[in-house]
Amino acid sequence: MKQIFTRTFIFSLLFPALYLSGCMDTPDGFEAPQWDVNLSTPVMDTTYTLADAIKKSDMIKSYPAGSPKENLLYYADNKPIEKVTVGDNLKIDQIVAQNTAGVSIGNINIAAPAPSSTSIAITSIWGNLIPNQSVPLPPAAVDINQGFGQINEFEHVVLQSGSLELSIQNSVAVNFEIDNFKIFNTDDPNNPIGSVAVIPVPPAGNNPAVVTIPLNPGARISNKLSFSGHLTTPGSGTTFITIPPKAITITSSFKNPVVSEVNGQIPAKAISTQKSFELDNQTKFQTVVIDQGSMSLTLKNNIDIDLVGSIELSSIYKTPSSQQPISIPLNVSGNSETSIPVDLSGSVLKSGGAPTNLISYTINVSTVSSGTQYRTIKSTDNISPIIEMSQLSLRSITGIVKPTTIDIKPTTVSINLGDMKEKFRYAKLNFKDPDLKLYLKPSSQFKVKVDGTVKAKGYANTLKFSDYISNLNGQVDSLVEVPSADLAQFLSSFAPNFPSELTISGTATVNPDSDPATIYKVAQSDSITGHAEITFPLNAGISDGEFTDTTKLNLKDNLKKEINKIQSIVLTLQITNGLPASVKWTGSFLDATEKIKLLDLPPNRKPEDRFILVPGAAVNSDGKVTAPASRTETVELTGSDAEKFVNSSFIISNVAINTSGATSGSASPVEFKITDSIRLKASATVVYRVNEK
Amino acid sequence: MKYFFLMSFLLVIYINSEAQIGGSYAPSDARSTAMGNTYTASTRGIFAVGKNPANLALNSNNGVEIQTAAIPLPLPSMNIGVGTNFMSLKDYNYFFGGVPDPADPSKKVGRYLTPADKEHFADMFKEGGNVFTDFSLPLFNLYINAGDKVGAFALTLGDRVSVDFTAPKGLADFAMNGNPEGSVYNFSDAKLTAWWLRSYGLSYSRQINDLLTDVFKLPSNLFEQVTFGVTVKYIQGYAYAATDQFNASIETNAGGITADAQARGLVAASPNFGITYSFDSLSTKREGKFSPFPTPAGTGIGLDFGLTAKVNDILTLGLALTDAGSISWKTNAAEYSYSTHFIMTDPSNEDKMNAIGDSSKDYEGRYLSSFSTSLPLALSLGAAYQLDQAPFISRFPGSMLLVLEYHQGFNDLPGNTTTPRFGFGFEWKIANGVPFIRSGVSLGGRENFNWTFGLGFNGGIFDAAIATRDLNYFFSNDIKRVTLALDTRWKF
Repeated sequence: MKQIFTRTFIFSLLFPALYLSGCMDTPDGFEAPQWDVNLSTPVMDTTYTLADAIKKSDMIKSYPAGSPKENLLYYADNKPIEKVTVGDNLKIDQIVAQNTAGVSIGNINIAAPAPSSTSIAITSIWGNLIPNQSVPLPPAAVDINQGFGQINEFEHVVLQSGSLELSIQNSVAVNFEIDNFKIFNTDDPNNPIGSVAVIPVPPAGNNPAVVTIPLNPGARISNKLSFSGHLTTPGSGTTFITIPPKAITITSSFKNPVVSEVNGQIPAKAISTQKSFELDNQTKFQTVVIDQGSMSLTLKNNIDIDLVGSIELSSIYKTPSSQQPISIPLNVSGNSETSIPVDLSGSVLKSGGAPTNLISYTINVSTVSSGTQYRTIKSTDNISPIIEMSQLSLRSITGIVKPTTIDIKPTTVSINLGDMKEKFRYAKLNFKDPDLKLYLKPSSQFKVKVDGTVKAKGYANTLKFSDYISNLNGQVDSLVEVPSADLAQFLSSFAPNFPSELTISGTATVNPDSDPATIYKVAQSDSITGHAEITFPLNAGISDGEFTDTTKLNLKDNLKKEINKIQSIVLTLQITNGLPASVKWTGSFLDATEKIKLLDLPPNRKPEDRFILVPGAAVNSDGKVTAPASRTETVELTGSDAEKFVNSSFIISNVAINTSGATSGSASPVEFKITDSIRLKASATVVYRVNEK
Repeated sequence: MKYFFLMSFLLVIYINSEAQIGGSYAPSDARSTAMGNTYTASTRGIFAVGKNPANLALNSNNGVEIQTAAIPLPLPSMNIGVGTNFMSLKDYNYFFGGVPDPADPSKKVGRYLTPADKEHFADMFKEGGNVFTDFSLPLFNLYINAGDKVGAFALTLGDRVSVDFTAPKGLADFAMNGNPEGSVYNFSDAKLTAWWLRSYGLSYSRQINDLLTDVFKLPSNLFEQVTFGVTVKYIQGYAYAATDQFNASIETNAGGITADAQARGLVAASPNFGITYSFDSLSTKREGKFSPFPTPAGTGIGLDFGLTAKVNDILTLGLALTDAGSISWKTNAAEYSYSTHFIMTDPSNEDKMNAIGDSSKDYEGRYLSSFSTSLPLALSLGAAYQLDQAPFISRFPGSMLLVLEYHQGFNDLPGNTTTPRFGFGFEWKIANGVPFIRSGVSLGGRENFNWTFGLGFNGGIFDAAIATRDLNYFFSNDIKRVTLALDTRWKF
């Protein structure tokens, strides 16, 4: 057993020893080999689209797919316009309507004074005849001049029309004839007020001779009249005539005296007149509801006699439901005036038919009779109404409204171009087809003209525009558009930097053209609402556009620590230009502070040649990019350049953009679309020596 | 990187004996190892357990056999290997032996690899870098043969710890050549399976000649002896960790670097290990407690079936189906999953990089109520031919047994492979007092080719054997592995 154990054990030792010694070398220790391994890694793959550049702006959008401007970038902002209410702008200015000429009282129909008689004595004809004698009367011819009795009704009048009727009663039984009969004021015998050439007077026993003597118009007639004439008679011949006490009795009576002036007893006289005054020379109304306002009625009585009556405002009704116009009683003393205030709040003006700008009123007054008192009035004496209307604030007006201007409060539209503002500079930027639109919605159907001004914050430039609201149905927005060409020129004037805000202000004028044919209803509560929308497609010509962006590289710190193991770095730069404009790309690697350039790209070139030029992308006839252009450059970095690259933390890219024609200063607009881009792709193949000590 | 290569060439130790859980290529006992790792028709006694239980009842001179780790004399039962299946020592010395330092030739520095060197290095891993470590410890194996009528019994108790790791083929290529533009590396062949199993086996085998003649009416002289054997194994699993799914690739092209990875791993561990999973923030930290009999994390039943027909004294045929069954892991069963897909196009873009970072962290773990794993089910067919007794041999020096086998695994669990393996070997006893000379070849399977060799000793009350399965490297400087199998069984 022991032998077997021993033998087995020996074999057990020999076998492995023989096996191991015969078949293998021992390992020669361990020394890690070195080798170069190519480690490829993308460094960056950044696509610079204008959309990306301005990605922080929600205002930059792109037209949707399928639209005519598919993918075209545009800036758009939409701001509500503060509600503009007609409010106090619906008004009628203060009015003073004065009838300077007044309303004359006119000629006066005075009551005829009581008849006045006078007699011619026998003796005045035949001298010494004694009444009651019977004698044959001889022919006689005598001049007569004799006054009537005093008129008590007036002191004098100035006659405009009328006559004096003479009734001549002959008491003698012979014929008389009065020639050259004249009537005159006793105190003015040389200016007869009436005359008759011949007055035959029949003998007694006949009816008296009646003669109507027209009085001279304009003649001043006093209260003492006289007459003159030449009295002749053939006598009675041989016939004995009993001599009466009086020969002839003459009775005078005024017939229908109309005077233009009188100093005497004045009867009552009605004065009635209808007048109107102009409310506004441009506004014609059918109906006006007055919100606030008043009027003052003043009646000047230029007559030396009291007046009573009323004035009726024919166009003005106290309330919309009133059936009768406003009537105001008057009582004005002679030679004085009376003013009456009228509150018009809530009153209504009605034209009663076609639109008018006149307000009618009727004055119905009457002079008060003077009784037995003498007053002096003339036909030219008048009453003079004065109507003063304060500024009327209107609730509504239906009619032909005068141009009413309402201020549109300033609306500010921001232009937030996001990063673009910081990253994109340019010498000239020509926009094509920018839009600035005001969408306005009047609450009523009236025509509105908008006169607006666009101002840019920080700039003196202004853009004025004017347009009409075309849609008058009051339900949908009406478009007021700033002419695109003007806006393009305006926007292009802000190089090199856009303003941050545009402020739109102006006025809205209701019925701007005083359209006489259209009747509108405009109410105080009427308003205009809407919004302003600015849109400018980035359909732009860019001259010396320069886009700069800094990208963090995120190179691993491990790489930096093992710089000694890096044999070389092959940096591949691929620039794919999807913009419809050529670009020049330059770049630099920066340190962690972003301030110190470590390495320029492409490296080792003269500054004037240090760029990668990539032609513009191919475009079709519509200006749309059909195929981007690409340029690839490979740069091998060794030694310190490789170390600089590894130690860099940022890469700054500068892309210069010029659209065609830029060199001539008239950069032609091209469409920049959201799909257009400049892609900078960098990859590095690091030749890394593994286990390099 | 240094440690990667060191680990790649580190010792791969196989300590194996009569493992009750095997597979189609797992290291075996020293005798079987020496004969081209064949055993289906040729093993006898205690060594038949786990290989072909039918062989237990084959006529043996031993009534009782004992194998235990407690008695490591004269030789311990072990199967040890050093090396890899992908790198030879020559390659190791070339790549890692260094070259004289030009500045100081007395010192060595790392070799600078030329493009040809790099290509060669990468080629070494074309078949993948598999590291299979298997530790089987026969705690106690008892074999009792009660005669043809009663049959033979075996009680076995043993532990097995296996780690089967496959480094992906593309890893070396990636390490050597980096990721030039246009490169695509697929790492989906990476795999890890590790477990610790304990098997309590009861085997029984009996001659079934009567059954064949009485029931199946086979001629009684068709076979000299036919035996059937079965082993029932109660398996306790103490730990399990495996990739259930692993797909990974990295591609570099003009668009950037694209990486894909989807992985799912299953784990289970005995509470005695005190493992607290990373996702379990609610549990208090667990304390490990040593015990020779830990609480199992999983249990299962395994069955081995064997049928051996001894046609005559010259030819024996064997058929075995081993490790049918499964283990259900219920204690601390958990799943880790990970999925990422990213394309690194722009490291300068922090958002993108953060997204990649977030994606890379997107793994999660969760408890499972249970999961099950198969046992390394394998089928083997073998034939043993006693050449010295062949009718066409009139005179032969000593005795020689020839063995030919076919092994087919049905899964890729530790020790098993679906790649078929053929084994051919012989055992030559030249004369008494001279050790058995054993040799053979193994073709296919995980290791493709093995030339095996060994010696055996009959010590009367014990058998001892020693073997290597990599004799081919004995004649080559291009050695990849050194393996050595030893064992002893006591017989009474």
